[in-house]
Amino acid sequence: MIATGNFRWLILIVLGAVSAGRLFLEHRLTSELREEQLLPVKLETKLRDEMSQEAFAAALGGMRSLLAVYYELEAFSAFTKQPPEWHTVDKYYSLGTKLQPLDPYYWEMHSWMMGTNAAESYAVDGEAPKGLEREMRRQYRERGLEILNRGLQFLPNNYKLHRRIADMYAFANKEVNPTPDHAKAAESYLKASQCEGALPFLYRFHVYQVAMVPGREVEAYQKLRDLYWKGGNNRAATLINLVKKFEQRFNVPLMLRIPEDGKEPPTRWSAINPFRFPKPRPDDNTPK
Amino acid sequence: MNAVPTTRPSANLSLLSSFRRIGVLAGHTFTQLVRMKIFYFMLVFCLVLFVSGFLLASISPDQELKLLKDTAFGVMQIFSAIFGIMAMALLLPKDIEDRTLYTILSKPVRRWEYLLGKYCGVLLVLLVSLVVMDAMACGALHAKFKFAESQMMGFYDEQKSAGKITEEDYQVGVSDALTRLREQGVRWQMQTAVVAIFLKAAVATALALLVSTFAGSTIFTILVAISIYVIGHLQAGARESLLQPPVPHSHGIPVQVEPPGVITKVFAGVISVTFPDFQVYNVVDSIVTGKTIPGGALMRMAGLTAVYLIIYLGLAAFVFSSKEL
Repeated sequence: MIATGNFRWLILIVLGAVSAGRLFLEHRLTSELREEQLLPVKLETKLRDEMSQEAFAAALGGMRSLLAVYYELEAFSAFTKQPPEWHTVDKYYSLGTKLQPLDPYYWEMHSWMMGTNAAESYAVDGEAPKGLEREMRRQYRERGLEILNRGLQFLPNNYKLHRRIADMYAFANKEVNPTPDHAKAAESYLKASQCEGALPFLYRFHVYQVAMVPGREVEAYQKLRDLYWKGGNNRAATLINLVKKFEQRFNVPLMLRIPEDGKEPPTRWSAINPFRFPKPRPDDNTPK
Repeated sequence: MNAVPTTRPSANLSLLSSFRRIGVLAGHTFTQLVRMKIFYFMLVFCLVLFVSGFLLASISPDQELKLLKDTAFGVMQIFSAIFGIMAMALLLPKDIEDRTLYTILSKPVRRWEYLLGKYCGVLLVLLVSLVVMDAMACGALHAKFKFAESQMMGFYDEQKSAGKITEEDYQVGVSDALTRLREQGVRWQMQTAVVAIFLKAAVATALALLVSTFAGSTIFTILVAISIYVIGHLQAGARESLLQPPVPHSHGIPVQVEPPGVITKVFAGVISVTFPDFQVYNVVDSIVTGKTIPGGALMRMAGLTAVYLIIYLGLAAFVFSSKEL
């Protein structure tokens, strides 16, 4: 018989005890899910000042993904205006990244909008004074990098964010990035290639960048050759051209060079890296 | 009004017949809700899918897929919780108003069996709705993925045949774009997100049932249940202030944390014990972005849900057993 006399109180006490005991179960599960980065990051308190009361309540109520979608649409709307309202784009994507910091998508999009689109819009606009334009481009590019570096604090092993940083350092643009930093690009491509789920061509991109860093030619040649002999998609035209360029530069003996297009290697010796066998002397590092 | 006795001497008390009665009541509740045309809200869901998937402007195909997926799963979360709360808030007062409750309880049916039957009926409708919404969302996502994939391949093929890009650029571009598209497409792990949504809605529904056992009106039940739903998302903070020493925030971002005072601790204790932690079900966003929830964690989540249901349904039965009808 349920709920009569003292039995009812017993039920109440048992339920109270179960309710208190479940706190440890909740705590353990929360810790486990946090470790796996499956739970959303705690909302920053200052976020309350940046969004409406209703939106903040909705975010607290577990509707963060929907709110982030809404803010992205707002950002997109500001982006498509003529001229684009970059400060509004920045504001809404900032909210998106704050709501969903464990989603690399928002960091990538935010950085791309500011570091590439906003920066380049000042390159093609041509209405503002040249000095101001240059400064705006520099600032937006810096903003793009800053966003990605902040994203890496939340997602240190995300290949997309490392790759975006590498892209920003690597690609030369007369107006926005006149002096690409190939060493930094190489480093970021390498980090990207070592992350889980990284796309296979990222290591190749790292090697391409190394090839453009003065003083690292031998390292680049060795890596390029290794990639060539791994075969598959690595035997891309850019890679083959770079290998051939270095072969000429280092006067590599013909039998140790990679074969001409479509031809079989003259001997199996050609698969041996000339800088590993025989071991290069220190002065071999100097390009000829 | 006469008080309905809590038990009847003629009642068949065996567990099997108890389950049978609960099953009959659940089936009746399911039919009752279906007759209330509640499945019409699926049309709204279709509309949401259509608008987010095909009408909203976006920059890239993977962005379109993400928009569709995030919206679909977000709306599934809202719909399931609201539906559970609304249904529970409506059913009990309706049975009292129609006097169906008295007819049922005058038969050899115990009060807790009646409550559990109603609850299971609502859960059944929730389950069917979620399965249908999931199927619709996955169908729309798959169709959109296929369309985006063929468009993307067409674009790269065209560029390659026109000599605008090299073979290497073609391979890199296709592999990159395909990876991005696949990340936003349909994956089996997404079904674990639907399980988490269902478990969360089951707890919200149990809470609404508890509130409706002592509430004076439907509006009161809905408002209180929604408030509890929101508070439940903050419960983790209160609990952590009790069980965990204050530490700087994770991800290397330092945050100044003051140790809580006695009053704060008492307040946090009351909140932690009274309200469920809805935050643990918020794995949905991570799963949707491509992460996988370990099987053990999912089992523990189901176990925690079972504990919540025992507590809240037990309390509901306790309150309802002594309620003057």
